[in-house]
Amino acid sequence: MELKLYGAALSPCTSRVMTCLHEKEADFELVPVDLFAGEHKQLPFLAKNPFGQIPVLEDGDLSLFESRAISAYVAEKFKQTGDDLIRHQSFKEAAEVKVWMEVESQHYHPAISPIIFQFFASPLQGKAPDQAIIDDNTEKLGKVLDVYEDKLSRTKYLAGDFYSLADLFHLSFTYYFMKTPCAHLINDRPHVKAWWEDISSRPAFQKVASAMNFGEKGNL
Amino acid sequence: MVVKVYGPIKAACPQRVLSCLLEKDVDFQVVHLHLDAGDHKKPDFLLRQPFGQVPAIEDGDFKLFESRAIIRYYATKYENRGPNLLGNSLEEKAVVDQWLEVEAHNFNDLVYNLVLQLVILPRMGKQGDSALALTCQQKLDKVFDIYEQRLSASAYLAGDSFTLADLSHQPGIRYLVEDAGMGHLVSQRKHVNAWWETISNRPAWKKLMKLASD
Repeated sequence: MELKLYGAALSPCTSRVMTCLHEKEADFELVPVDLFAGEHKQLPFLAKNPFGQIPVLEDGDLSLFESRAISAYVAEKFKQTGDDLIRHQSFKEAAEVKVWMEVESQHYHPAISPIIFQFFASPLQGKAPDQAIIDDNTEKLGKVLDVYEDKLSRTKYLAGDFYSLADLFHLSFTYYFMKTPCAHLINDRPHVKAWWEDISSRPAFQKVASAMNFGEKGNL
Repeated sequence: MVVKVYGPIKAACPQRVLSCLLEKDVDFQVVHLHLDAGDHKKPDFLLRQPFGQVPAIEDGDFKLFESRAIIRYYATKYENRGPNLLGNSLEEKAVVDQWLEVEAHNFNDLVYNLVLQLVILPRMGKQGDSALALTCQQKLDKVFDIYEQRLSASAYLAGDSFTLADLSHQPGIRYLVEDAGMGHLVSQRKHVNAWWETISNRPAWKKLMKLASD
């Protein structure tokens, strides 16, 4: 039975899951959810995710929401295929991956997400990007990236010398970030830049990146 | 070997870890940090936790930070001891993970900001932002509506047993109910109230509350 992923190709959270599915060579069907029509905030979608957010994964009887939980499930279910994103054979490596997954969730995401919102979503609401919010969050993101620069000068990837789900979790939001005037936060830090170039060139992500064209001309 | 937990026993994120360790009957030692003296921002602590936050743990040679990563580690390490906090099948584990993510992304920020404005800043002699507190409360109301719906279908968030998904909420809800005067968010919802009564009466949590009050 095929996996069904409800979401939108240009959405970073949907892309997070799709990147993981591609890494694991898992077949799935993307079922488009019309965000602009507010489909995600109404029934029947609300029955799948009461928080009214994409994506949702259906695997037979199992229905999951929250992109990071979905990705972790996919990485576990298909752990024998492709690269071992969760280091399932080493208990301690697995724990390190979990630490940096949490870091993405608790430190990186809260700083980068408002910046993406200001540059990509505000214009849709007829507003100019709020520079105060951008400045506040670039300062926070800079401090987080200083920690990353230090870590990545000691290990090739975040959790160790192996690519893992922790690195993957950063891909989709950073991809949009690199299209903003704030991209220098990544490019000015040599180890972070090298890491970004490495992880964003992985074929599984390249498959997904080409559809992440939110805000580009002719796409709205 | 005793697990060292760095952070104040009264702080929410260390409590998330301590609750888990108590559920799993793991011996620990709390290494207190004075947050108001900035202990968590000093160089030797930053070596443990580069983001300067509590908790961090040290278990022999093994070190970790991020409370939700720590609880996942110990729940897995001691999977066969005490209550099963993870779920059994891959699917059950995924649902536990889903609700842990809900706590982290849909619940935590609202509670954190609400408690910051109503409790923490005033304790520090500063003015809280009442407009922000109100916005957080209104959003939290909607989140609790979703929890009420969920808990009318199952006794706990991820199913019929207590798991990490429920445990992760214990410290935040305690702050809401006991310190921030927001108990009505829980008590006015039949299923959320019953759930909170159950999870806050677990022996491990009660033991932690006693330790934190000493």
